[in-house]
This record gives sequence, C-alpha cells and structure tokens, in this order.
Amino acid sequence: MKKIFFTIIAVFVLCLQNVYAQESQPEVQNKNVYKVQAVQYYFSDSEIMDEMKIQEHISNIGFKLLNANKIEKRMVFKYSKKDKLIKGVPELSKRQTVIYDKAIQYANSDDEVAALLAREIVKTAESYSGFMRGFVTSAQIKAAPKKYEIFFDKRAVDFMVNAGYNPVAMIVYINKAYPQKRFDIIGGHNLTSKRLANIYEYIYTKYPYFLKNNEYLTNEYYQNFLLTSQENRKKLQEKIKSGSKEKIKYE
Amino acid sequence: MNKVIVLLCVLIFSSISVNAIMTDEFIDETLKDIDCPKPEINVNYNYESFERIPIKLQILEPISTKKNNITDGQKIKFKVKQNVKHNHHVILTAGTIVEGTVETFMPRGMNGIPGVIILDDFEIPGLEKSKLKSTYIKRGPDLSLCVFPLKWALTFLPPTGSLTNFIVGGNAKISTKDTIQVFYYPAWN
Repeated sequence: MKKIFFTIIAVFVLCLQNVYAQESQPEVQNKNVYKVQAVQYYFSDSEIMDEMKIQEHISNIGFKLLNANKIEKRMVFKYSKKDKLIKGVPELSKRQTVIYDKAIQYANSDDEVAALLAREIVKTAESYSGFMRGFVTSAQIKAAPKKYEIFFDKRAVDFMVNAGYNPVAMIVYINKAYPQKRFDIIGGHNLTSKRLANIYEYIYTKYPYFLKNNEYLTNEYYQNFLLTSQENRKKLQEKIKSGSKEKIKYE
Repeated sequence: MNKVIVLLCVLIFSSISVNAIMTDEFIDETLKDIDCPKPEINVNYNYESFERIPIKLQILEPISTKKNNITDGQKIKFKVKQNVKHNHHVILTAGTIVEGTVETFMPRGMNGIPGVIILDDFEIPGLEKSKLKSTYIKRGPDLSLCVFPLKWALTFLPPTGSLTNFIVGGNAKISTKDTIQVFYYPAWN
C-alpha cells in the first residue's frame, strides 16, 4: 500500500514539475524570440536602414556646407517622412532644418541635395540675427517669405560654390520640384520662373565658370529650363549688352 | 526613287531636329572671350585654433541699398585702418588698399523689413583667404519692431492692421565712418 502511495505521489510531483516547466518555458522562449526579433528588426529592416542612410547623407552634406562657409551658428538637419510636399520649412525657433521625404525625392545628386540644404541653411542662419536672439527676424521671414526668397536663393548659391558643389544644380532642382503659379502679386511666393531667372543671372554674374563649363547642359531638366526661360534670358542678354545696372523684371 | 530619297532625307532631318540639344547660345556669345576662372573652394579645413587677429577696414566710397548703386559681385575698395600685428611683426600696414566683394544684397521691404548688404571675399595682400573669417553683414534700421506690435494692436479694427504692411524698413548703408572688422586666423589651414 505504501509503495502504491509513494508511486502516486512521485508521479504527481513529476507531473506538477512538467506542468510548471511547460508554463514557464514559453515566457523564456518568447523573451528570447522578442530579443532576437528586435535585434533583427533594428539591423536588417530595409526601411529603417534606408532612412538611416538618407539621414546620414543629409547630415554629411549639411555639415560640409556649414564648415566650408565658416558658419558659426549651430543647426541640425532632420529627415522626416511626413508628407509635406516641397516644403523643407525649418522650425526657425529650434534651428532644425527639416527635410521632408517628398522634397528629397527630387534630388538626384549630391549637388541637388546641397542645393536643397544650402537654402535652408541660409534661412536658419538668418534666424540667429537681429533683436531678441533672432525672434523678430524669424517673424519677418514667416510674415514675408516672398521678400526673402530670392535673397536666400542667391546666398545659397554662394554657399554651394564655397563647399565645392555645382550651383547650376539649384536651377535643375527647382525646375523639377517647384510648380509654376499664375500670379505672384498677392501670394507669399515669387513665380518659380522668376526665381530661376534670378539664380541664372546670379551665377552668370558671379560664377560664370559653371555656365561656360556647364556639366548640366545635356541634363533633361536643365534643357527644359533653357526651353522655358528663353524670354527671361533674352532680357538678361539685353541688359548685358546695354551695360545697364537696372534690376530686370523677370516673368 | 527620288521620292524615296526625299522621304529618307525628311526622316533623317526631322529626327535630328527632335534629338537636338538646346545649346545656351547666350553663354556662348557673351562669355566666349572672357576668362572665367574656377572659383576657390574651402573644403580642406581645420578649425582647431581659435587665435584670431582683428583687421579693421574702412570703405573708400559709401554704398547703400537706397540708390541702386550696388550690384551682386561688385568689387569694392577698402583701406586698412590700423597696423595688424602677429607675433610682434606687422603683417599689414595701415593705409593698405584691399578689395572686397558685395556678395549680395536685399533691398528694404514692406512690414518694416530692413535692407541688407553682405560683404565677403576680401583679397588682402599677404593673407590667405582660407585663413580669413570675413563675412560682414550690414542691416538697415529694422522697423518691424514697430510694425508687429502695431499690427497686433489694430487687429480689433479690421482692416487697419493691414495698413501697417506699407511701413517700409530702412536702407542698409556702409559709410566711410563705419569700421568693418574681419578676422585673420593664422593657424587655420
């Protein structure tokens, strides 16, 4: 009788241990699985890797522009996947240049990424100057972006050249990324054709080397710019022939 | 046979015209005989040292955004105001004429926005450009400090607040009395 009793207890205890073992094992296994999955997710997910690469690329070009131009103001560059079409609007208060997914998609080369970033750097650097640590200047830029637009474009060309980028890429980038509105009298922005003509004139005046030895002459987007800017370029030609210093009214 | 030849010629010439690359004739014409040197770039730098020597300059002829007498890339002459010394040696004597460039400028605008003049690219004899921190920015009187409070104060009486848009900012001027200070970093690359 005793033997039967001990056997039953032994079987019961063994069963109990198995049950606990079975209950506790999945937790351990799951934890390990989660860890492994997390590591795999972190290191092998192509989407994240792509984002990291883009972020690294943007930061690299951005900091190269800052250093080459000896800009002493702190700023950072952030890549965002938010769907904010063609508005790499930095938060002027944070001095954080946000480059949106849709904007970077139009940039096909380092020169074009530099064109996109250089413009935002000018804007962010400007937010440091003036009254109340740049608060008033930031308010001005927000209130009257049209006034600053061409000024920023021109300064961005300088920044690109100093950092060793081809400024013609700015024409290429803007030509393919920015739409053309009907009027600019009331709106907050200049006509894109007007901006392009001003950039072209600026490059012609200060950095003619890039137009004389134009790497972009066979580029489809640059060819399209030449096609669509004939009237404006004719006006520039007349100005140069006449030696006038008057500002051209581009369309 | 003639028809076939004519047809072939038409096809060949039409394909050439379709594939033609539009050349920038304007550039070819105007820059043909002009020497266009490659601009200097600044990609090899080492900003470890922060020892700097100020160089005080004075413009020879005043410039302003008011009279439209400046253009982008215009060369401007300056005079060195004081002797510049490094390691007890004079590296630049007072009165030396140096050349700078109007990098760009922005005319004054509505909403009290001031005019801006940016000078840079100074060519100082005996000093390397890469060792200079020479961007000089001059702004006109900023009237937006009046415009914005006035605009907000008048929001209760629409559209009077919008009338403040027509207040224009001041012109940027660089006169012969202004001291333009640039810095020379002798240890920079």
